[in-house]
Amino acid sequence: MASDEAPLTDAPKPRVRGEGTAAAAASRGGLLSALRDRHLGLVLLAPSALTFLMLLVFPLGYGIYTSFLQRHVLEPEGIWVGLDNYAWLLGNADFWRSLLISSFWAGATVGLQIILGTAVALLLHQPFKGRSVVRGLVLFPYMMPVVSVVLIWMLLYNALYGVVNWLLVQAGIIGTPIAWLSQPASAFWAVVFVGVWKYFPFVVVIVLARLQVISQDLYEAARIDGASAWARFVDITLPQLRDVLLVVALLRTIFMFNNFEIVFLLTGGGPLQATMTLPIMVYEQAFGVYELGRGSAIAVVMFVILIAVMSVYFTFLRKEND
Amino acid sequence: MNRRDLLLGAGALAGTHSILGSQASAQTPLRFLTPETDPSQVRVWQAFVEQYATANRGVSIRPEYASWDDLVRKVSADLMAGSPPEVIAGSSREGFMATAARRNLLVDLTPVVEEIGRADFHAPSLEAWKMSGIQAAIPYGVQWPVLWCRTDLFQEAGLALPTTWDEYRAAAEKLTNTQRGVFGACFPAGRTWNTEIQSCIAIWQAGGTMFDDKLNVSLDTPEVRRAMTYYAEMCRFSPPDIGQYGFREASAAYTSGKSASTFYWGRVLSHLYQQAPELLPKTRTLHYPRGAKQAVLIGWDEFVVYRGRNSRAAMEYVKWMLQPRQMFMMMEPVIAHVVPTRNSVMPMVQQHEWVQKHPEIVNALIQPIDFGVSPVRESASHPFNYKWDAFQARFILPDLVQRIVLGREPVALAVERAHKAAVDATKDVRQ
Amino acid sequence: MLRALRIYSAVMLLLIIVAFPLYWMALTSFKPQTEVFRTPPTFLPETWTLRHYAELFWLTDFGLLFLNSLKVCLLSTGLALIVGSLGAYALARFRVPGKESYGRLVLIAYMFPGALLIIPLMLLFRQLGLTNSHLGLSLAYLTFSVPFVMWVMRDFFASVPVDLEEAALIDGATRLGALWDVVLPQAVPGLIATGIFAFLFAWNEYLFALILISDEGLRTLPPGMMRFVSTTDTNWGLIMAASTLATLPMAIAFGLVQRYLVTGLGAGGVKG
Repeated sequence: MASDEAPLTDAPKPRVRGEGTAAAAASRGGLLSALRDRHLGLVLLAPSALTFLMLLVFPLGYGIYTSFLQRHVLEPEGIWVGLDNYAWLLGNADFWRSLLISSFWAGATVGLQIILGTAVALLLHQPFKGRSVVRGLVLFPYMMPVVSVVLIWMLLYNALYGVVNWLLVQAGIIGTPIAWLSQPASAFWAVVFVGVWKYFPFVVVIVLARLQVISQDLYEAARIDGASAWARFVDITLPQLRDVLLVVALLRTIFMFNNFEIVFLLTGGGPLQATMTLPIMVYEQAFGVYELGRGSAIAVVMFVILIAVMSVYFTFLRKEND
Repeated sequence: MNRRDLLLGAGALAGTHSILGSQASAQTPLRFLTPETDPSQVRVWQAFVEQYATANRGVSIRPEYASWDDLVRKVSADLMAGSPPEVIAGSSREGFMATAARRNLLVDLTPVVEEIGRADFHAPSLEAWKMSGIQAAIPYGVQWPVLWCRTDLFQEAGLALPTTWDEYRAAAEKLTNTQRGVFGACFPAGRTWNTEIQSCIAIWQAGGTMFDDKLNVSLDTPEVRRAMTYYAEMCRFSPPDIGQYGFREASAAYTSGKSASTFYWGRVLSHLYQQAPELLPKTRTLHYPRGAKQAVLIGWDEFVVYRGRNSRAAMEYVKWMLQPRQMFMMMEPVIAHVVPTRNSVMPMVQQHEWVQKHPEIVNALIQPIDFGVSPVRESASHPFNYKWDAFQARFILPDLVQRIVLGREPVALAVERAHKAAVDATKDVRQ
Repeated sequence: MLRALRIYSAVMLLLIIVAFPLYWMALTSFKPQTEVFRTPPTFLPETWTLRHYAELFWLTDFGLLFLNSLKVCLLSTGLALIVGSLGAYALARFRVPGKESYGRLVLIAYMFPGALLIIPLMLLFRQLGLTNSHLGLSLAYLTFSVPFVMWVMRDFFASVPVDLEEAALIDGATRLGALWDVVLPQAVPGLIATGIFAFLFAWNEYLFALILISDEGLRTLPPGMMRFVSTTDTNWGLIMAASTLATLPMAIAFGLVQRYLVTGLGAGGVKG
């Protein structure tokens, strides 16, 4: 689903800038502090609170409840089985394997996105003719529908008439075409590549924006000291980017961990479960063999992981603010 | 109770409910679901919609499309969300249909057969779709896959067209040239229906069965091991990405000129006309090379009517489509893909330009055979296999093939595990 | 000189990685079916054809899928903008108890895995008769678009100077009047940008659309396009034509938001 993508404009913002002004206005005893404002504030919040309650909190609770049931899609009610689904999960080698694959998938795609994204941002930070066009073009993979991306890569990866294999064979890199998506050994990296291709522009935009506010004086000083380009990167750029990269890595890790479409549409979790990530396992349990309880149990585990990673994020923010 | 039963059970409730809950409205919409989606075929469905609407005011037909692999899952999803489409044209799979008939989800189509005239129908085909005492479907075409061969490549390599497993294996090996990107055979190994069909055929040809005549799983036998060994060997001479192959890839491998041979139904003829007419003179078809014996999977394309508020109108539409002119229109775009089940349609098929022009292609496809087997009745001594649906839904055979071909698991071990999985999947299934 | 050469060759490499797949998509959609399978592949069509585009509209329900998608995405984006920006405004301007926790909740909500929500949503929507309904799918999309709008618009509202509102209030405007007349016009660029993103996320969504709608007459583009793959016997020309057209709204929207993205992000966008 689309919430697995972070928007480009929502660059991590630990502090809310309005706070200060509003507080200042309030301390002036201005109109903004009037008591009825608080009521109005609650009224304005009500629709969104209601949305969260109905569409997120309640379903979440219902999902957790379902994870204690043995429930078929068409049964009006399930049978309470307590922790059976979790016991099944913990004793199931497929689940652990899937957890591992999910972690590798998230780790590999995010790591490569960060490296590639930072490199490209540094490149696009240099002045050259046509830079703005290139900057625009780079965003394209990120903006495209996942389905289009998947279809393109299915065609490119094809072992019989796919152009990727043809080019690689022509270049002498491989001897014969490789069935990228249908060999257990290559399928994982083939989907990782598509994941990186689709989402690295996100990193580019965030890093590029950060690069633009690094003071030029720092570089000037280093240049006068005779520091090499590499030294300038390591000593100045990287420390300045550190926080942004950490936050981006954290958020992207969650998004990639939760990502369903790319892998599901490219391989369906196969071949031989080589790309069976947790979201696909949820889908298979719930809508392939109609075991809603087991599917929900896996989803709840994913939720716990999400909360764990988010608390790391919030701790990080608090430390930053102090 | 089996899961799928439950699903169908609830669907039956939904169906009855909608019969009771609705009155005839001015406009009768009919949902018509089919996996027959080649562009030329879609044109026919659209023409039907128009012609039928002018002749029958008040009935509006809405075509919906699904893939051959997804058809049954799509119907399940529709049952989940509310109600299934009224009419389905395509292969609904006998195992699933038997369950649906038992759950009282289907309309008995006997009146349609009688009104048209039973004598004109191919009797065994009608008989195959008698389930739970009703005519659960009316097949409009019978079909079986054949071996499509590139005569030029065989000639070039100094090979005769194969008639036995050994000849085929030797030929496939010789024809495979990975440098040129040409492969001798095309055995599918995706988690797909086609993989299941091809492995069924290999097992039967080796003398094995999936179930014995008491309907106990009979996979762990020397015959099945032999079949799987052969299958895995032939995969080595197949395109590298067979791990994803279902129906369409197996056809595309041939029409793209990359496979010197492939197993497929008659549809390839139309694909060749559209995609690679230059291959037409270099193509001929034969029956499968023999193993220990000759066997092929016989199947049908059929009309099914699900119970719903417009069942009556749906039956009328099915009857209209079964008229010779309409039946021929349906078959024309993919001529020779199926053999019509009505005697009166056969002459029209035989006069079709492509059929006249390519006897070496169509003969194996339209001349009657006596070695067709259906997985729900593996031999004359087998009763109808009510466990097949559960077996099929769990992809037991495709998973077996994948473990051997992609996972490099020893055949004996993989077969043993598949046997266990099949026993597990079918032990709770009740008739 | 050497430096410029290095930069340009790096840029070329980047362009190949990013643009080649897109080029191949468009290219394939203009090739006749016989040319798609050819090796060596043709890097420009030998014969140009618009046949796939024509067939897409004459023989498939692409047009219907496109309209359905448009309908669902516009509806959910509209709802998300209204609900989300009201909440964002409240968070930016009012002292409401529990505001900070609420802000965090918004962020966590935004991170919710779709796989977690789809099972309960499907069960609930079936009870409420919201399966097979465009309204139902739009509501499901609010699960990610409302938190998103709130998160982004909160900062946007906060950056609108308070003085303007105060001036309006002194002139006798009501609070809501001031929001409508003074704050909203200031926030329009933000609303457009977030709106476009909310639209794009909904446009690209696959899982909810697959599960919550099974009636083909109501299908939206992403699952509908995947159906083409399995039902058109690998007619890559047709499939790539569909992919190209599905990307078009993206390209148009992209032209619209680029200003906000690349320059607007600049100084203020990223802290940390």
